Amino acid sequence: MGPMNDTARSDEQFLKIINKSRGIIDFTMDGIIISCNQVFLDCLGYTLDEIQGKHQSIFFNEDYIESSDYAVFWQRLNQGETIEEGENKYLGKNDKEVFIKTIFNPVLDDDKQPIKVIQFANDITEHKLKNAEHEGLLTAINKSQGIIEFNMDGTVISANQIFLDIIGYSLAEIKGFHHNLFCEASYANSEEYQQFWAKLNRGEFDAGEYKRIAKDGSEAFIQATYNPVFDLNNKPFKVIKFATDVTERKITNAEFECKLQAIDKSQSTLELNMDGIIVSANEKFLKIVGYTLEEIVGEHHQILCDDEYVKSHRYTDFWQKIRRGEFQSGEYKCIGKNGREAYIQATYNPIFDLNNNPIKVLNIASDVTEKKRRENENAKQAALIMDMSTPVMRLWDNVLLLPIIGLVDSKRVQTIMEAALQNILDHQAKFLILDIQGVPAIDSAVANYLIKVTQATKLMGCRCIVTGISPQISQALVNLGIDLGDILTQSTLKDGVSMSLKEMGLKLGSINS
Amino acid sequence: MTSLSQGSLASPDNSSNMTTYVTSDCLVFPVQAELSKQAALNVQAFILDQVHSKSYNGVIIDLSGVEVIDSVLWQVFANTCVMINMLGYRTVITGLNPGVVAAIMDINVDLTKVITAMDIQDALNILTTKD
Repeated sequence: MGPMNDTARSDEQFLKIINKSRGIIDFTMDGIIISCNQVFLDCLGYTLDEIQGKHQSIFFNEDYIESSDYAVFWQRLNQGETIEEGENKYLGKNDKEVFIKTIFNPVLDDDKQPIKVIQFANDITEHKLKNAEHEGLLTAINKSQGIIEFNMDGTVISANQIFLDIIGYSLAEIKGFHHNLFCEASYANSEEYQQFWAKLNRGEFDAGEYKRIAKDGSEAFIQATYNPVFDLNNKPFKVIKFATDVTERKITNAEFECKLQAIDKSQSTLELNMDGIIVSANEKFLKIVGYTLEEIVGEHHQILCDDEYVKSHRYTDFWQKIRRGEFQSGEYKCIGKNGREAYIQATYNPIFDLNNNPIKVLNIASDVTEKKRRENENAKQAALIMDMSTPVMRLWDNVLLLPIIGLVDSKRVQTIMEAALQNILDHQAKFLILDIQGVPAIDSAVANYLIKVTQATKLMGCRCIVTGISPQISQALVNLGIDLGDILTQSTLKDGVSMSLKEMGLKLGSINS
Repeated sequence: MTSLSQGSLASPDNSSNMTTYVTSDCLVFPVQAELSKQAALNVQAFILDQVHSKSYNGVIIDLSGVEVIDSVLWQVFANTCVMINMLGYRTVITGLNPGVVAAIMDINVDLTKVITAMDIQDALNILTTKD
């Protein structure tokens, strides 16, 4: 009794498990549904009442029902044959499509005549959808990328049109040939190449940019991945390579790189992020400021500017403009290591990402410190010459002498006038002797300047005597039609001095007399 | 020459009091502040009035307190000189500082009708000796 019971119990359990995991449905040999379990109902979305007593054909579309396949199918069942369907499309409630893998088991009576059919069903819709997705993905890749398949020994199995276009061969020309057909001989014979295939044979993946030779001998650059494909024992049995032609990009990149190198060699560059933090600088820039790269990377741009500038609103403006993506250029003062001053002629170029947002700033600069130093020196010298050119001397009490030497222009006459007027005030001068002996030529402009000086002197309440007028100059002045008015003039400085002293009631004389 | 007699005090302009004094029979009018055109015209009327009512050797307008003179103001003072000349007196302007002179030179005005001196002493010399 015991063993019998055990067997019966385990059979029962087995059926229970099947009942829970599989859809089970049984129908008469005419195809009328007798009953089915919950799994099957859930799968198609029906309730038992809705399908009981109906013909099994409600699960299929009309095309299939009317086809000879369907008739043959029932014939075979009636002959007692077990039918396995790999997958079939079932229509659930409201035409819901369900893919079902199924086995039809005719149940035979003692005379081996089928009396009913039990169907075990597995819902494989999800699996099916996944497959469809994979297929779509493959199609998409196939359309967009070059694909070529190799055996593990490197011979070509197949390739798609895109790949063939890149290398210029037809499929027939490469099928069965080794991969080294696409490589330069030097590379194909190298150890490196051996390693490459050894790596793939170990099942390791390889990706990168590769140089390959097309049919016409031209170079093609491809961005590719070599993917070993594994069998069920986890052994690689072929290699699929996905490839994109980057020759054009490579050429453009090479060009850009050259340009960048040229800039790097000839100009100083400094990279900042949008917060003003220094990201990098080239050798030339470091030379200008005297820092090492480690010392300035991570520091704020401020360390290169003097405090006054950093605190000024000009500096705030500068960064605001940069952040708006505006380009800035000009001459900037740069504070190097230990407060060393340098001047750079620089452009600050915002660099944009693909969305046109500025992401960093590239400063391209050239050192103009030397030029600036020379300019400063020149300005200092010019100022010095200006000062030297207007020596106002006190000749006597209340008498000043201003000798003018060299060319006179509007700027110089301005300094002469300022110096003269100030000295007249300081010395309470009654006479200013303006000696123009050293002026090489007088034209109407110079004459007007001199007249201006004398008039200004007069306004100060001081009289001006112009001396050192040569015969040539007097001729020139008259010929130019210049009226000196009531300006006192003398031919020599000596006469001018005598005249001024006489006007003040003084006289120069010999001691003996 | 150094005798100094206290002059009259008048205020034709509300914003500035005008003081004059007489020394060596010359009427001295010191301008101590920046003037508007209207104030300068008031000064002009005031001086002419003074000169007309009394007899002097000459008139001295002292501009040593003025830091800025524009063409309009200069023209008022130059005209004042000409007007006083018409009344039979000579006028000397004194105390122009270098900045004012440079400004006057820049605006290119007629300087021939104006006599200038460095300070009041010089002006008195001019007015008393060259009669």
